[in-house]
Amino acid sequence: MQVHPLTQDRVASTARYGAAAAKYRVVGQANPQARELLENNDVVPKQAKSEGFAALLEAAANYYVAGRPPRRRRSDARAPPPPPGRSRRGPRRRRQQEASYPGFARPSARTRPGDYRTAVAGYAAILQANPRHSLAAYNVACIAAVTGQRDYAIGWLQNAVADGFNDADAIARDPDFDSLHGDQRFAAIVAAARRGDRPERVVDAESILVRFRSAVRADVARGGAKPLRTYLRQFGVRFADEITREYAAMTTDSSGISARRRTARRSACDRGAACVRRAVARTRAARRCAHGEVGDRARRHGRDRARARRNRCGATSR
Amino acid sequence: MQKSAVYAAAFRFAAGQEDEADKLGVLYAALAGYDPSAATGL
Repeated sequence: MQVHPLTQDRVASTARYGAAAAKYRVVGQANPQARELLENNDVVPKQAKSEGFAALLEAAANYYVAGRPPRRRRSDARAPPPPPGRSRRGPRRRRQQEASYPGFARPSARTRPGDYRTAVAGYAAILQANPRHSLAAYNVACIAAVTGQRDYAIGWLQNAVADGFNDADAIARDPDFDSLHGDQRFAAIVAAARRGDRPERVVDAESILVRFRSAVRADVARGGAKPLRTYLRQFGVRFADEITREYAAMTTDSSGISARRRTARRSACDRGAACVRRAVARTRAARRCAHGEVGDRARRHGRDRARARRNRCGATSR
Repeated sequence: MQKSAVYAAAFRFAAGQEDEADKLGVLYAALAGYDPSAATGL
C-alpha cells in the first residue's frame, strides 16, 4: 500500500498541532475558557484565520459595506490647485455645499448663467418649503435687481434681512445690487443689517392676495381660471394656504360647479356635452379613489383604471 | 459534470487552507475535551 505524500506531511503536521493543542484540553469536559481560547491561542495564529474562502467572503463583505471607492472626475483632475491662503473652489466644493445645505446650491447648480427664470422657480420651491429661508430671499432680490425690477428687489432684500440675513458688507459689495446703490431704501436696509435690526417685511400676505385675486378674475373673464398649481407657482411662495383657500372660494359657485366644468360647458367645441361628461366621469373617478381631486390627477386615475380593467388585474389605485 | 468542474476551479483548496483546517480541527477537539493527538491515528 502506498501512502500519498501529502498524507505523510499531514500526519506529521497534525501530530505537531495536536501536541500544541494538548495544553488546552481538560480531560472529561469542554474547556470553560473555550470561547476566549478560540480567539487567542498558540495553534492558530490570528492572522492565519482569515485565509481561504472565509477571507474572500470577508473581503467581499467589506467591499460591499464600504462601497466602491469614489471615482475621480475629470473636472476634479482639471481643477487648478487653490491659491495660497484660499480654499478650493470647484465641483467638489459645490457638491459638499449642496450636501451640507440642501437647497442652497440647487437652483444655481441646475441653472445656466443668466437663466433667471429657472433660478426663480428653484428659489420659489425653496421658499415654499421654508418661507423664512433668508438666503433664497436674498438671491431672489439679486435676480430682481439684475433684471431691473427695482422695487421687487428692495422688497425681497428687506425680507431677507428681516429673516436674518445680516451680512451688511456682502450686501453692500454685491455687484448684483449696483443698480440700487443710489436708492435710499437700499442704504437703509444695509444700515439695518449692519446694526443687526430686523426690519418689517415688505412682501406681505395681503398685497400678494390682492394681486392673486385680480389675476384669477382676469383669467376667469378670459374664459376660465388656470389650475391652482399655476397660481401657487406664481404667488404661493409664502402664502400657499391662503391662496388655496381663496382659489376654492373664487372658482366654485353656489351650485358647487368648479370653474373647470363651467369652462367645459362654455366651450364651443362640437363635443361640448361629451367634454362635460368626461369631466364629470373624471371627477367621480377621483372621488372613488378617495383623493377628491380633479384635473390632471383625475385624468391619470381614469387612465389607470381603464388600463387596470384591460389588464384585469383589478388594481385601481395610482 | 460541467458545473462541478466550475465549482472545483472556483473553490479548490490550497495546501495552506488544508493546513489551517487541520489546526482548527485539533484545536476544537482539544477544547472539547478530546485527545488531539488521536487525530493522527484516524
